[in-house]
Amino acid sequence: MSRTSKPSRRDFLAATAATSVAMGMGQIASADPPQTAASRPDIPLTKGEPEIYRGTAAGAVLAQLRAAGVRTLFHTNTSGFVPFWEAVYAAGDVQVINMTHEGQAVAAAAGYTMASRNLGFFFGSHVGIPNALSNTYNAWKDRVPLLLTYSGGQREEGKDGFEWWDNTLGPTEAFTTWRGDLEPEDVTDTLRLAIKFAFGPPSGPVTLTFGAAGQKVEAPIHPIDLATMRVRSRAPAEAIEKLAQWLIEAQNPLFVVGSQVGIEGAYSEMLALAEKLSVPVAETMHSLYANFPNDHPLFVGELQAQRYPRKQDLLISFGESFTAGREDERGLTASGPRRIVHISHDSQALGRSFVPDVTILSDLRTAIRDLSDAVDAIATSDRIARIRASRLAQVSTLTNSLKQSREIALRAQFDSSPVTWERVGFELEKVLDKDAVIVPELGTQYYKIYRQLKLGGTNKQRIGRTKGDALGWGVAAAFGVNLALPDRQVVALQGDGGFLFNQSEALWSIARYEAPMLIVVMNNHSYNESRARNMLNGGTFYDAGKDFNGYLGDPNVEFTKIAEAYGLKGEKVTRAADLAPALQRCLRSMRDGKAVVLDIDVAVDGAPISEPTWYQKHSIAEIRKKRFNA
Amino acid sequence: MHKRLVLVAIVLVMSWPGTAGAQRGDDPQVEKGRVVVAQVCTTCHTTLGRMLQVHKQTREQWRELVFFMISRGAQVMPDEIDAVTAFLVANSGRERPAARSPGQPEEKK
Repeated sequence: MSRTSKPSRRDFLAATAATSVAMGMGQIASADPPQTAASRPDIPLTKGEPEIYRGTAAGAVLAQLRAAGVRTLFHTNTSGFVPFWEAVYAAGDVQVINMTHEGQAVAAAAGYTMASRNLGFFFGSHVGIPNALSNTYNAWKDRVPLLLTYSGGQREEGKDGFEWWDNTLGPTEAFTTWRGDLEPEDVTDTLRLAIKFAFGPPSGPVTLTFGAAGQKVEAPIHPIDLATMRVRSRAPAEAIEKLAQWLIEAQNPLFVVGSQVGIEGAYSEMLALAEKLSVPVAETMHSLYANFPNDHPLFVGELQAQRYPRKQDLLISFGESFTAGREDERGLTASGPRRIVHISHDSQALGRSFVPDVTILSDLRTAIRDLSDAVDAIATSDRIARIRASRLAQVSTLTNSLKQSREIALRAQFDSSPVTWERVGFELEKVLDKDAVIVPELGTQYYKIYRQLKLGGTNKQRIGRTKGDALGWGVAAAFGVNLALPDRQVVALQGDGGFLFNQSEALWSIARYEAPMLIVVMNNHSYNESRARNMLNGGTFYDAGKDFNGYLGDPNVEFTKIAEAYGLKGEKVTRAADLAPALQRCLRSMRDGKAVVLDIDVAVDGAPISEPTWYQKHSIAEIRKKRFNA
Repeated sequence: MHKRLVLVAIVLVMSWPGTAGAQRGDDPQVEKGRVVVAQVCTTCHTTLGRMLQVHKQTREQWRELVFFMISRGAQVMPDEIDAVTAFLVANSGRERPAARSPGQPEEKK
């Protein structure tokens, strides 16, 4: 993943001077003729000494954001930001991405942040807070650093005034790490504090009222390196040494890799440690990123499905917080007594969802490196090599067998129509770039696609599904990913049900900003995940064949026409044999710069019900006719 | 609590009498399937006994479901697919796919 580079001080000063706002030394720099970085060093500043911005309060917000390397802002329609727009206009190097719904804007900002490790910044109207809440919640569950700022009359407490409720940011309280007010008197101090809270740990969204407008201020601007904003930690040496001893002595250890590996980008360190002792690696069903290459012989799949080794004696969680509830608990308890070690860079996550034997607070990358070094210090290279070789043979036998079973399952219904999920994954793997980024929002059937795709390591990357599971996230999040990674193929994997949760709005921004994405709609004409769960244990609904919740096929939505309404390309596939040619047409369109919505009729899985298309009918038109005929 | 549920599910499957009691212990495939189901399926499906009572399916449907679960991550090995299918058919099979009218009771095997 790339990270938006922090601007050089010269860039910062020159661009700020271009805003025509008086800003201390910025004017001095702008008075000089343009010079290359090689010909003149940056003007040294005493460490910690801020530059002083003089101008509007809203301009100070932008100046501080730019000093943190933020160049992309997300916005929805409102009229409350004129001084801020003026600053954006004057700066000339800040891209504002307009979205048509606050919730979609927050999802796009989250996707952008997850892919770039920059800071997602949104500004919009406070009356859009309720719209933004579900994806604010998702971002909070995913620990995504975001600043969500809202204009509006925050001085109207108690009046039940126009567009007003008391405690403006109150509704966001459960889903934010901090809330504050951007007021003129301390505008950049508050903004820096907000950034600090956003990166944590725990990291997550911060909401702010945006009271900074055209007031004249003198505000300190500090350069901020976002890559170092998260508070760092390192485990005591004795804890790491003890863990290394356990790891060497364990007969059947298991690693569980979690989202913090992805957040820190510690992929190569994780891979090297697992390979050192050939430790099998699992993930939980709510893994937010592809933290380990899923085609690696040590990758054994989901924790809760683990069958081997039956008698694990050591489980080490690297940055996985086990927040999936029952599913994780089953995975943690299925193997019987064993030592469980939880390593996390977030002290609030340690032992929060379960009780480990040992908790270690540390950055993941540092902990993995320290543990690897400690193993080297304790065991001879010969011993390490022996452990590695013997265990690799065992784990490879398992993973090869599982691969064979998956191949049998793939081929069993390979040519069936509606298309199987496995076939969709198989065909995508054949045509997508090796470094494509997959952004899924699917039910638990996702695994049928994931295991046909090569994900993690140097393969394709995966961002999502959001751990929050609040539907209506994926298309906009994928758009945000594409903004952050413009040179990569980005594929949103959506269910038809999820797409219908306010997601067509994101197509407007995808079209306007010419994001050449592929949006795959896995269309089984139902909320099949919910149906399967509702029907799992039978009951009167099941006996009657009636599912009040699940069927979506009436009306039968033409997703291709939704795409075409936004000026995008639509492709419809109903037969397996048509999928590969359709994908080729999709790729051509994407190469030409136009996104595609690929609507695939896919199989309805799970135990069948006798009346899968039944729903509780109600017709207002019929009632109306009766009245007219009366 | 959930560990207890899993244990209950395993015990239920291990002691599952089946609708065709004669098959239990007589058919090595069914016995092999019973062991695999206890190891693999009950880690997630803690109400498996109830599910087998409710969802009676044909051999072909059960086989498809086994493939479906393998693709979803169930760790069933190639040489266990037939055995798991045999166990499910023996304990929750039907001759023909369900095609019930609304309100019609569950077909008896």
